[in-house]
Amino acid sequence: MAQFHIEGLRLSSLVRDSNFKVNRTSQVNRAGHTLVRIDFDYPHDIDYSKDPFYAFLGGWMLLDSDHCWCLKEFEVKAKYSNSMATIRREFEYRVDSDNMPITTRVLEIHESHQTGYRFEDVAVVDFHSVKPLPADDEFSLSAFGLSDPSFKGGRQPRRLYLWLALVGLTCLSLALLFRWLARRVKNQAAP
Amino acid sequence: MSKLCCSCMVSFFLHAVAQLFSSYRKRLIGSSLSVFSFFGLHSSSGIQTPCIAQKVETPKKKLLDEALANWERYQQFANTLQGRVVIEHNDFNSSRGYPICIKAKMELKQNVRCAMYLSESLREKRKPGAIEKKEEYAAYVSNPRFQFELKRRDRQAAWSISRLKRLIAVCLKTLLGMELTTGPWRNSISKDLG
Repeated sequence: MAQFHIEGLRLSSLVRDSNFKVNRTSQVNRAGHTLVRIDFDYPHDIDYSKDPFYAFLGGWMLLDSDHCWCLKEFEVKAKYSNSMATIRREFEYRVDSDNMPITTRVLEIHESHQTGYRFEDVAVVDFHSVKPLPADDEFSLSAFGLSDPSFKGGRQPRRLYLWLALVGLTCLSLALLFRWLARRVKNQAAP
Repeated sequence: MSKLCCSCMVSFFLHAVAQLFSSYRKRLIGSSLSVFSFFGLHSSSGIQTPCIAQKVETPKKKLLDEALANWERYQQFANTLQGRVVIEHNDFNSSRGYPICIKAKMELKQNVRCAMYLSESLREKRKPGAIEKKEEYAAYVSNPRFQFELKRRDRQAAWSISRLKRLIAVCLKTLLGMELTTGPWRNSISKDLG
């Protein structure tokens, strides 16, 4: 779960970003397993009005190169509009028969430096790779005992030509009206 | 601060869904390189030299070549994942004077075109002398034709539609895949999580 994202930003997007700078790489041993630690900077202008915005500016991540380079831990410094914060997340995972990591537990600790605000999130995850995938009808309103909407699948065609014809007819009618009024005024003015 | 809390909580929840629903296109050909090859080019000391820029750039390139392929390979696998998440959020805001605990259960389901998660959340404000509790039940679903959001008062109550949005060639799966913190559900999810 989220083992390939840092604060909502995919690792693949992060490392492709020109602002992403690797400062140092090293090996770390955790419970007899060798992990890759990457210290990085991610200096960028944070636009808080954007949705989403990525508030972290750098930190480090521990990656498990034996299991798809998934995240084992990360810690980043984040800059919010009113404070700086440290965000740390740790992942536990099991490995399936294809050597794919599947998250089982996530711990996140968020500490704000100026305000003293702190929270912890713990997520216990029970995910499985399922085949065949669920059928489409399990994602309909009728699956919840409600009626599905009746609108058609395709977009209604824009009847632009009708509007153009209407505008044209209106202009023509106005032109005829003004012409008739002009003639009438002219006839009345004539001796 | 509540915005910060909300943002973080939403981020946390959404991250949970992000891995599940993101979609990638490529597939890795061949196996990943060893960690030692990753370090092979960076074993020299960190003395400041004119080559430092190159040294810093090399690990990034290795990441791009090696880790990226693995991340993308994993994403294809992640598209088959389904299951449940139980999240406990403990919020110690000293300025507020009392902790808030949110417990949420989520069930996530997906196929190639559709995605759904059901959420049951219990929010407790542990004020001195009294605990305020609030339960919320919601479902966020998308299929290739439309998205909808359902709410109900409790587990036994019938669902009612709180939002229905028609889709034109867009589904929640795609929206979630973008970064997951985008999309029309964000506000709803924010409300859901407090």
